[in-house]
Amino acid sequence: MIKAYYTATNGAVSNQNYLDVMSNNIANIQTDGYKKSKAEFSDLLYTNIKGTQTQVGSGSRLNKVDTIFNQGAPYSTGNETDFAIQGDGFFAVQFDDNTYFTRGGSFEEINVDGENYLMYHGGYVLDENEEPILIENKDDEINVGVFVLANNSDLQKIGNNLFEIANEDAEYSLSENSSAMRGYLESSGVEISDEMVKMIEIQRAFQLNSKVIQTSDEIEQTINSLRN
Amino acid sequence: MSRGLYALTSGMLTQQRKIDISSNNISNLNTAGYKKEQAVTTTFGNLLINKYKQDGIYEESTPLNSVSMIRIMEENNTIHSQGNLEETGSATDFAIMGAGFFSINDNGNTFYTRNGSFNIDEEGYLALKNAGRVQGEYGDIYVGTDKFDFVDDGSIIVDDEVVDKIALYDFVDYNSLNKAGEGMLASAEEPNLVESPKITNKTIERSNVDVTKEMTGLMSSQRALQTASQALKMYDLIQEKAVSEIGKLN
Repeated sequence: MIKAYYTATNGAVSNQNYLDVMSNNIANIQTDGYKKSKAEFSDLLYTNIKGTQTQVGSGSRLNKVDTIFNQGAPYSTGNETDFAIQGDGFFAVQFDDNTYFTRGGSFEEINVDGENYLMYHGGYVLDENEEPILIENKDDEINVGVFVLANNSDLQKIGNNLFEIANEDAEYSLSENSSAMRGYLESSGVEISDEMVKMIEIQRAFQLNSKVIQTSDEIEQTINSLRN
Repeated sequence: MSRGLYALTSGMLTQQRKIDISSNNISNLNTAGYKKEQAVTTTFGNLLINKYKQDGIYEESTPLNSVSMIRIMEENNTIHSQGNLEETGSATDFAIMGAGFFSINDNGNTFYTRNGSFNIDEEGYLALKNAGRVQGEYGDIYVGTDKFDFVDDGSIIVDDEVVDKIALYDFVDYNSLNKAGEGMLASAEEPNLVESPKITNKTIERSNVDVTKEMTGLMSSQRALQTASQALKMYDLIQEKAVSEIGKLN
């Protein structure tokens, strides 16, 4: 089979991956504190055409998916257990032995062994001293800790709007500049118009690649019918 | 056998190569910093004569045959035109405006690229994923954080101090650059440092592939191949006649 067939298949697959990333962004357009993902691609190996110095490539592949940590717009909910971070930083949530991070501040008050704790998806939200937050009286001030990392790209999405530190050497510390606003939530970082435009682009690119696959097939047909 | 038979076959093969190159361009529509390629074809005979002259052995050689119809791929030109810039919002994305390449060090090997979608690696250096570390004026660039300021001459500023300046290199002869995959270009030639680079932050350069051109190229290549295949069939018919009718003893 001619090489174009496989090259275009690679291209179609990377566009499919692109669409997967994009559709996850769109699905999370209403997820508070969600940070959108961005896919990047790279070209594949180049080989010389037989007997010449001419190089020809073999398509593209998904290289990486980055998270874009842009500030989302805060909006008022009036809910006493909602928090939004203004500026850089994350809330820390403790699950058994692991601490995860999130920008989604829609916490809940949950009763554990007779005491009310501030929780998020079943984990304890930590205060400035990295201790679980005990709520004794609803009107009390709640000091939710906001933590920063030197390098946000050390964080990896693990679902439930949580991030995990993927780099062993990365350390987090209490933020000096950012603060949590009570009664507010941070809206998703996904811009629907951006995503829609991208989606049209991806669809067209996918169609183009499938057109090349079709053309390659027709060429094979032409060659096969040389002798009839 | 008729010479035309081979000429047509070479024509078909050349069209196939052209489609291979086109499909690689189309496949890399979304690849940041990708530069499109263009096939250049030539006739075999001409190439042969040129080579003889270059060798300096047959300096006054007369052409062996003035009608050479074998068509082959001569070279694959990379078109180094500027791609569109796209704002991404990612702090470690960079795009070059104008000429030049980022220099990437992969375990001692130096590669060049226009793909500026970098990351901070696990040790805090500015790096291109799956490729290597970005080179500044003092070698590897230690940033340590993705919260830095950037000046468009390439300077990275952390806590009001310039850490390093991203270095851009340019080449006198772009033909010396070979694609090495993963968006990397390798060159045997020593590059020149770009004196006053212009880099934008939070943007990347998209590929410079022109969809319309690729598509029309693909269509014309396909038709040319079909035409050649039809002509091949005619040759076959003529030969069939020659073999089975003219030579018939009756």
